[in-house]
Amino acid sequence: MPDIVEIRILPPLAIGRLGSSATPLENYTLEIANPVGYRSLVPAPTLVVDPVTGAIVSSTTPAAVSFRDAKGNIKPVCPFLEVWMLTAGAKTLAPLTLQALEDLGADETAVSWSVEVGNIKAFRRTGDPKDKITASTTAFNDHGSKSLQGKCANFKPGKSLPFGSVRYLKPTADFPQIRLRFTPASGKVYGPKTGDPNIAEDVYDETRGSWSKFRDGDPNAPASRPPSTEPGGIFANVRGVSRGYLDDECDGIVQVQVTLADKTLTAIARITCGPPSFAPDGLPIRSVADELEQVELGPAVSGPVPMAEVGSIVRRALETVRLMNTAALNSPSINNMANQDTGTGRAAEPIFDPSVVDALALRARHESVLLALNSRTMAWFSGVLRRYTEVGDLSNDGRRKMPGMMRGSDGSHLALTRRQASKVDAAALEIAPDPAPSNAGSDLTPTNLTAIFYHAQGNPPVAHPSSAISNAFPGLEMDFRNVWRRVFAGIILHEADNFVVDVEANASPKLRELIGQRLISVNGISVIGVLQGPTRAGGPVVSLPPNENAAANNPMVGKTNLEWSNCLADALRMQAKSVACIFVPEGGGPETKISLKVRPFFEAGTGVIKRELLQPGELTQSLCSPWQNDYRECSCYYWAASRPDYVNVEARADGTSAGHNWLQLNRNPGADKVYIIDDFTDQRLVTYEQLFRNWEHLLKFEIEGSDSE
Amino acid sequence: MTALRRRHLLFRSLSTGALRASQSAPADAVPVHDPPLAPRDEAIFLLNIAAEVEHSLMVQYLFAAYSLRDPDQFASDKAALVRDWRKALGTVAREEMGHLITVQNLLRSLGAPLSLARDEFPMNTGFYPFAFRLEPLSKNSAAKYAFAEMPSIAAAEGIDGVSATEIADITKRADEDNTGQPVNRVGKLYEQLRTIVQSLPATDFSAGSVSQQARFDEWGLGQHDILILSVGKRSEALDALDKIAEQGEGPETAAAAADPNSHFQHFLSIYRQFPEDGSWQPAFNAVEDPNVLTSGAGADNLGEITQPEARLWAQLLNARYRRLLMTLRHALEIESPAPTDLNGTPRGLLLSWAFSEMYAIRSIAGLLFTLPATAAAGEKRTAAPPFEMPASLSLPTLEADRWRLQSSMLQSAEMIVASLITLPASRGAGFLKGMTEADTEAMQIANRVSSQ
Repeated sequence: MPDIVEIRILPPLAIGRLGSSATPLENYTLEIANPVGYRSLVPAPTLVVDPVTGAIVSSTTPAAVSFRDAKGNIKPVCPFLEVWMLTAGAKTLAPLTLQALEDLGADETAVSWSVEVGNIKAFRRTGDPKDKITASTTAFNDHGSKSLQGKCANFKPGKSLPFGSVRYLKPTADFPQIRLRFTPASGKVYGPKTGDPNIAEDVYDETRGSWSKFRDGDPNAPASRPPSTEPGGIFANVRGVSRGYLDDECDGIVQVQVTLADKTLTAIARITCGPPSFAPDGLPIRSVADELEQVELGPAVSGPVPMAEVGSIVRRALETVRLMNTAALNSPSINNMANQDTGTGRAAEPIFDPSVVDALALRARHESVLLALNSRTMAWFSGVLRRYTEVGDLSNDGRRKMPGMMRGSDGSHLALTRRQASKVDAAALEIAPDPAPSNAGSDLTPTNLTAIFYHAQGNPPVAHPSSAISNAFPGLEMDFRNVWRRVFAGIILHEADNFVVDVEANASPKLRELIGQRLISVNGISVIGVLQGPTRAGGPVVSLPPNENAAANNPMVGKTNLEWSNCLADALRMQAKSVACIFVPEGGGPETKISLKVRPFFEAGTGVIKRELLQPGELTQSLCSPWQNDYRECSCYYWAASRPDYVNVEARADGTSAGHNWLQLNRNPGADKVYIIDDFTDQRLVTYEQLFRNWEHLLKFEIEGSDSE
Repeated sequence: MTALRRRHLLFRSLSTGALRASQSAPADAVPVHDPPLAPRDEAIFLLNIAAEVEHSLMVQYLFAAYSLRDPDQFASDKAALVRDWRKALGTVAREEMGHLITVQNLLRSLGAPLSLARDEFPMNTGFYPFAFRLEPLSKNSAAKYAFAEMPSIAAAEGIDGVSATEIADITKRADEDNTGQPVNRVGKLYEQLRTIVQSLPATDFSAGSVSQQARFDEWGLGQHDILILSVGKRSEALDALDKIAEQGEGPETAAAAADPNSHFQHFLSIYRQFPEDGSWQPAFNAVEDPNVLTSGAGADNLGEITQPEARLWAQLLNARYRRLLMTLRHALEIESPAPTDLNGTPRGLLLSWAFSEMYAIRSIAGLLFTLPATAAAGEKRTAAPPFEMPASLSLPTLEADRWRLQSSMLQSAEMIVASLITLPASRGAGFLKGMTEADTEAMQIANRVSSQ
């Protein structure tokens, strides 16, 4: 066998999903049997691991996919990570197997793993390094399960927070590839107080740490406290004061090392975990996979786009809209996008004409657009798409662009990634036939998209970045915005706003002066967009917020920050090169022009997000703490494919839709289908406390838009 | 062509005021009803003609757009031209749709029934620009469309870059394409309407009807060139008429016609760019005036589509067209919900269904141009979308019955689909499957509503 020159772990980013069952979720595929119908969950070969030996004993296709075990506990998603090798002269990867190791004069013990994960949600708020909860393993090459016990300096003595486990699977003759499996935690809530019925264990020491006294916008906060997350206040609290709750999500880095006689090779991958996808037969309209594709290939496509790619965007829009109560989301009389726009000074008005927003009407409209792809033209669709620079256009026309009624990572109305939009533009000119299916395993190259999007054997679709939402405000499986914080060497940006929060160690005085300043352009491309809309119903479109007293040279007047993913997409084409950045002080002032180097996004030659961009725990640090809080209170409704809203929808006698709020408790078949508007004080809806204690058994999986259990 | 019903029309000379039974000088004549009608009555009469004109133009322009081949089969310079023409024709067709909808609003405002008819009035009223004809785009047809949308010849010759020679050629080609009959400017109709509407009392217009009228926000998809104007009072009626006339139906001035977004400029560009030397064929060699009438063998119906698969697709298109018209009518009979009302009405669903039919028609039309018109050996012509009007546009009186009609129309369409999918190797299997799924969902809803 030729000499081995590199190794890789695939997939480069794997998502675990919480659940307390001892049985991992079966594998399945998502099949589209009907152009406008729901995807089907088709059971697929499932790798069964012997709990004693750690060996894969079979690959069995189950009769059905069930998300719960016999006790009703949710089966966690436990992704496999495979090791691949690149041999001398080869351009494609091959599996690293027992045989390959033998050919190299080694065996399975030459492979060792180490894992480092973290949950630093409390630290993100308090800024106290002792609030970081981290777990790591020493290097191991045996096949026992390695528990990831999160330790924290501000925990009570002897306490830890379990993040799940990892296991180096024993390779066998039947399953010879080198693999690791990550099993996430159960999804419990932890906190400081003994006897608190909401928590599994009191781990946090209130006498040491300030997390349980934390409040966003606290006037007495120390100067060292980091700026608030956006959105702020997304932690369990009582009248704004944190309850000190923590969850058992984590994210981090898995490293594999192969030690041969003459060399040692290493590779890394990232893992993260989030709640289950409760509508697993759909995918988010904008996902982490879309982000990674944009980073890898750039914001613009050239030439005709295959129908499947354009169809995917439209289908995901349909799958999202199907689970949203669009009539409720349209009216400014309740807490939703229409209402939240008024915070900018925009007049309170519905987003769309009320005639057209009933769920059944919008579903039919989206289905027909999907069907229209068959005519291979979507010219008009390009015209109604919101561009990333238009997210702050709160005029009637602006808010009615697509996607509608959803929130983007910048807190404004959602825009697709620029690459997604470019595909729609290209489809307006021409749609290409779909390419012939390829054998993905035969053309895996180290850096191309097939490696980034690789589906490891046995991993269900919800372990894949395509199932993770990326219009993060803050997100569910991860807050992808965090990858941009260190995109420019030397400075640290806010993940969700255009200002510098800190500089890296050993930063020059010139860079230190940038702390607190706002970045407004990169290589001449603005990273801020207009914020405008009418201040009275039917009135003219003006800058928002209306502020006649703002400093004339304040570039943020009438402007809003744009999400980094899109506005830095051009800069990402300049990785390892310098770009011209312009900063201005908060509130206005003279510009500072400075050249900064764009960090490479991926580890050299791999699809793994670079270590320098994200330390363990940083991918999830700005998510809700605990994540259950987000399920209860956010009316942003950008995540319907994972956290449904409007379920069991059917036509009323008058032709309009009727259905249930996914969080409402009484959904007996005989009950009148009345959608209870989201209100965290309404006891007819699942409460915070009920979620903390028993989310696993209260939240239902939705298949084809209806309760499946 | 089906024989058109006669209407009680006389023609009044603008110069002498004399009434004649026929037009001796079309440019001078204005159609009037015989016997004379009360002003409101006449306004409604003319609005019905206006609705037919807009509907006819929209369908003819759509057909022309659909008749263009896929750009990707041409070299890049020609592909760009074809894309531009498609876009231009689509834009103009959408704007005509906007005019049609606004005319419905005008009718509603006067308390008149809606009108989606298309062939109730004779073509020789002097209001129709040209005889209804579904034909693939050609230099002659582009000239015809340009002439219809032109200001006066003198005004047109005053537009920068437009020469008298060109106008003369356009005029000649337009008349040729209109089987030797002169092409009219459509502006006269709106001029006449304006005169009458101006004379109506304010009380003839209903502000209360606005909640049932079509609204731009429901229809326009953000494309502000589509004029869908609400009419609650006389001034709004006059404004709507002026805007429709200015946008397309015969700009008054050279300046208006010089606007690059004017219909005239769109068609002028196509006329100039369209090849006439046969060096390349931008449009399909399709049947003209396609139909699925049952003529019998040897009958004089050159447009009949007889190839089995094509005939079924053409019938399906007619079925979808019928549902589009009826669903639109039904939607406009339902009140819009108040802006803050979380409990909506089914109007939005019906509008969505109407849009679904538009997209379906587009898809089916594209497929028809790839099928032969007949099974005759050596048939060179392709099939084409027939856009035949349904037997009736009447809407049932009771709401429940209107939903039963929905269900019936869907069932009828699915019967055609069922025949299509039994054909060996029929095209569009995925599309038909999706259509059936969507139709099934729609039928379930319609049955639910109608059963109450």
